[in-house]
Amino acid sequence: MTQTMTSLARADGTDFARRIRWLGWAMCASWTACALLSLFWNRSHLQQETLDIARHNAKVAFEKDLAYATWNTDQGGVYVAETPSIPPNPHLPADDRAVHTASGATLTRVTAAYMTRLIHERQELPGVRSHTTSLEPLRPGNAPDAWEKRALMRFNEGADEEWSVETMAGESFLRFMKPLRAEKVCQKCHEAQKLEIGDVRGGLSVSVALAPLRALEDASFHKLLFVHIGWWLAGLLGIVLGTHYLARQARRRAEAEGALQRAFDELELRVQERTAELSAANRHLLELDRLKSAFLSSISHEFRTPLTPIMGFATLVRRDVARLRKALPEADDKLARRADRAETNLGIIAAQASHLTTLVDEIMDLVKIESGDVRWDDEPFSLAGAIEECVQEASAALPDDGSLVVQADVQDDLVPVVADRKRIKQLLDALLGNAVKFTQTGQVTVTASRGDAGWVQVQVRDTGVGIPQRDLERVFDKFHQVAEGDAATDKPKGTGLGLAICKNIVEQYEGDIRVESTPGEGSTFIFTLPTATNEGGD
Amino acid sequence: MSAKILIVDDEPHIRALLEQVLEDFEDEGVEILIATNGREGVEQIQEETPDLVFLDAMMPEMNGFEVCEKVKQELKLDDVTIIMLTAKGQEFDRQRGIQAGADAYMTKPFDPDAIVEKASEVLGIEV
Repeated sequence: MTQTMTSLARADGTDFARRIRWLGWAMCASWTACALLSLFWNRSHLQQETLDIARHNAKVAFEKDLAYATWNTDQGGVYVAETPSIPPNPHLPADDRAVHTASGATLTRVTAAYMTRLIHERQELPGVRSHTTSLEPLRPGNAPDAWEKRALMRFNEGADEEWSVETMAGESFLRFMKPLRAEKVCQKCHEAQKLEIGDVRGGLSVSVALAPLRALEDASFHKLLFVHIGWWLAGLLGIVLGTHYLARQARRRAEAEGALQRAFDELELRVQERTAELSAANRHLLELDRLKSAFLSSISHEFRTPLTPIMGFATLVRRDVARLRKALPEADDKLARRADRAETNLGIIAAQASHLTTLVDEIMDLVKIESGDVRWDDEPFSLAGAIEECVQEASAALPDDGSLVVQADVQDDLVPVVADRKRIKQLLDALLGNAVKFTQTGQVTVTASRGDAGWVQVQVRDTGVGIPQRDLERVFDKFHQVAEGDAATDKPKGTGLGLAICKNIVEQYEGDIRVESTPGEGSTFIFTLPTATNEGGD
Repeated sequence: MSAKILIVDDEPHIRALLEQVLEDFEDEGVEILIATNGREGVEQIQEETPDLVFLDAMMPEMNGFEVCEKVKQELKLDDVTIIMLTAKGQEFDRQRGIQAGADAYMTKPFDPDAIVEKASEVLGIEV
């Protein structure tokens, strides 16, 4: 499961890096396409611009020629000195062709068309050639070439401007032409042609050499190309760097995810190991628990087995000694005293063995309760009945002289308690036993009454020696014995475990046990038990 | 035919103690039989069919519970009264003993007088 997740995360990372690289290539291609597109668009724009400039130049040349020609026409022609380079115009009417001045100089008439031709022959604008032409020229030299002829025919059909790029003598030119329409003044010279005003009289064509403009265009284009290459390279660099950066980030992220996943896997493995260790530890604990029970059982067995003959034989031998004592001759006092002493000593052996047995029993009991090794047979039962039984048993063991009385004082309508009846009797027996042990004369009273909601309070009060203040808090401690208390009685010493067991029993039911005492006046042990109707307990 | 008491215990001192506790019954003609382990105990019970058996619970080879089960459930010797003696002092053992069919149960260390009392009750002989 986790292995699959790891490989998925890694695949995601490398897949992402691969996609970024692909995106990088795509962006490079798009950028290159954009750069090329821009270059071509700009170039075509430049070319268009070149043509526009050429056309503008042509138009300017045309308008200038037209302006001069119009001025000339408005004057009806001008007269200039006749020279070899300005011969008389044979196409003009002979009457007005020449004027002779008083000084004898001859002036010849120069009309608009003639003046235009003269100017153009004398000085062409650089890269610009003009030509006045007509479909029906007065002068053969003004006959149109093929392009001009086509344009003139279009003008006749109504067109107002013609232009195109043409090659002439291996050079590229923008050819431009506009019609010259007949005005009234024109009729002076072109009377024979019966011109109507507004008719296309001819046209003025202007050819602009494109080479110098193209040179400018190329220079611009080179600049453009240089800038484009610069931007293109910068863009490529940006894309490559960006892609590389993103891919590296993706790779790092994939690596980090991989590392995280490995750490997670390792953690998972550790958890599994730890779980296994814990299960092993748990099994070990269960085994220890089983061993503990076996150990307790074994200890109990090992103690009781030798105690059996010790106690038994002590009892038997004591009896034998008593019998032998009776059989002794009356006179033998010394032997009699020895026999008495042996009987007493054997009694001590039996009593001590019995005490040891009780100690073993109580240690086992306490250990079992504290380790939770005890089965509690909890059930509701009448506390009054249990108290009555314990009081009767305790009374039975009392001396007959009536100096000490054990009695019960149980509230009539006491509700049943829920607990292990045997254990509660054990508790009552222990408290009664202590009370009787430390009380020479007077009363031991067991009272039971309703306590706080859901609880019954039991008190075992005696009129005995009491417990010194400093011992009050420690009486429930294990092996703690009240020295003065034991000194004040000739009864056998306790084990110091009885009250510790009592406390454990009460606490099993979440009850409370405490003692109040006034030395010399008596002690009261108070404990609480949950009733059957107590919702808080069970 | 005289009454018989069988003592089954692997501990020699406890056997000796029981023998001595019960010796007053011998004066009344009761025969005291001894077995030192469970297997021997079963053999003696089969051969002698004693009236009363003091049976130790913890023994090697065959323990008291097994002996009790064998006698009461397999051999159906209901007339043999078995008193189990245990040194474990646990409630669990008492229940197991009763399940196995023991008639009574006593905890070690026992009071010699209680043994005598029990024997008198079973045999109907006052000592």
